Formats: sequence, structure tokens, C-alpha cells
Amino acid sequence: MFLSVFKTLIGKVISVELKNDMVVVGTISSVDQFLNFKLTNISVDDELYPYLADVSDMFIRGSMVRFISMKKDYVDPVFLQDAARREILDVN
Amino acid sequence: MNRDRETQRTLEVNDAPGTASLVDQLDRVVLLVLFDGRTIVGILRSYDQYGSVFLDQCVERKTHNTFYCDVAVGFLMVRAENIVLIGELKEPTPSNMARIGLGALKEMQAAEQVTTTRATEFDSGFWD
Repeated sequence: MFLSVFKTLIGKVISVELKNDMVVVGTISSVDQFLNFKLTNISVDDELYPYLADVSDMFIRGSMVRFISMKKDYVDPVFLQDAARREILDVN
Repeated sequence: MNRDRETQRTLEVNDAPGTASLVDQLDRVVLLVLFDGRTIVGILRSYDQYGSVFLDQCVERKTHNTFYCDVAVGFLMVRAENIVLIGELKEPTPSNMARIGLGALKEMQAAEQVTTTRATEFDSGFWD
């Protein structure tokens, strides 16, 4: 279900915090069933990670993601709630 | 309706390898950041559904501030669980960093007191 949510976010800017405390801001270009992300136009803290300055496209492994923060209006909380309920109904 | 179906098909084709299309990066120079903080630069030759990769002509890129040193490590297979991210590089050498010898780099690292890990904080005003 979260996969379909993130598929609707393709082309949107998100901020990803990784388990190594790195924060990456970028535009989602694709996402798969493990919630691996491909981000374009990324920006990171150049002082902390100078070696990433030349990187514009990156692949982030889903298992290394701690948080994903996004603009509030990218997702509809009521819709998400309903989707979660529907999922439970489908299982039972 | 027709357009929706087309979009759906495009998504399915792009997702086919299971790994958010690393196919674009094949035979390109990539920079791997590993979970222990090491960075490896090499040419991406192959990958699997978990995101393990084979890298050709690898170097471990040791960095200290804006200085770096590449140590050749040959042909590597990196198991997926160690990989944090894979970034695509246009040039194998960084444009904003100065290359120095391994000895000089190690001296610099030793000279600087190792600071404790930084706790990140949510920036509540980020999206405003």
C-alpha cells in the first residue's frame, strides 16, 4: 500500500533521513516494492559530505531509510486512513 | 482512461527488475556509501534484486574535509545490506576536492579530534 502512495509522489520533492543520520532532499524518480528510491536533483549538506557534491542522481536502499518527510498536501490523510481500513477488510 | 493504462504499463516496465531501475547506471561510474561510512567508487557492472552490486576498477575513497585519497581495491562484489546509497558520478574524480597522499590524509585524520555522532533534528519549518 505504501508503494502506491509513493508512486503517486513521483516527481515530488521529499526529504529522506537515513539510518546513518544523513539527510537527502531530492525529487522521486522511481520507487519499488522494497521502498528503494531513486532520487534526482538531490541536495545534501556539502560540508558534511563533500564527496556527494558531484552526485545528482542517487539510488537509496529502502532498508536504510529512517524517515521520509514530505509536504503536507502531497498526501490526503483521510484517504490514507480509509485505505488502511480497506486493507484490513480485504485481509479478513 | 487510456492514458491511465499507459502510465500503469510504464510503471510496471520500470519496476520489472525489482530494484528501482539501477539499469540506467550500468557501466557508469557510481559512488557507494556503505553503512560503516566508507565510500567506494567504481564502474557498476551488475546488480541483483536485493541491490547487491558488482563494481569494476574500484577505489576506496578516503576523505577528510575537502581532501581525498583513492586506494585501489580492484573488482568488488558488495552485498546489498551494507549499501546505504548509490550515487551516479559524471566524472570519477571529484571537482570540489583536492587529492592528497594516503599518508598525509591519515595524518590529518589523526590530528583532528574525532567528534561524537551528530544527532539530527526535525526542522519544523522546512516545508514553509
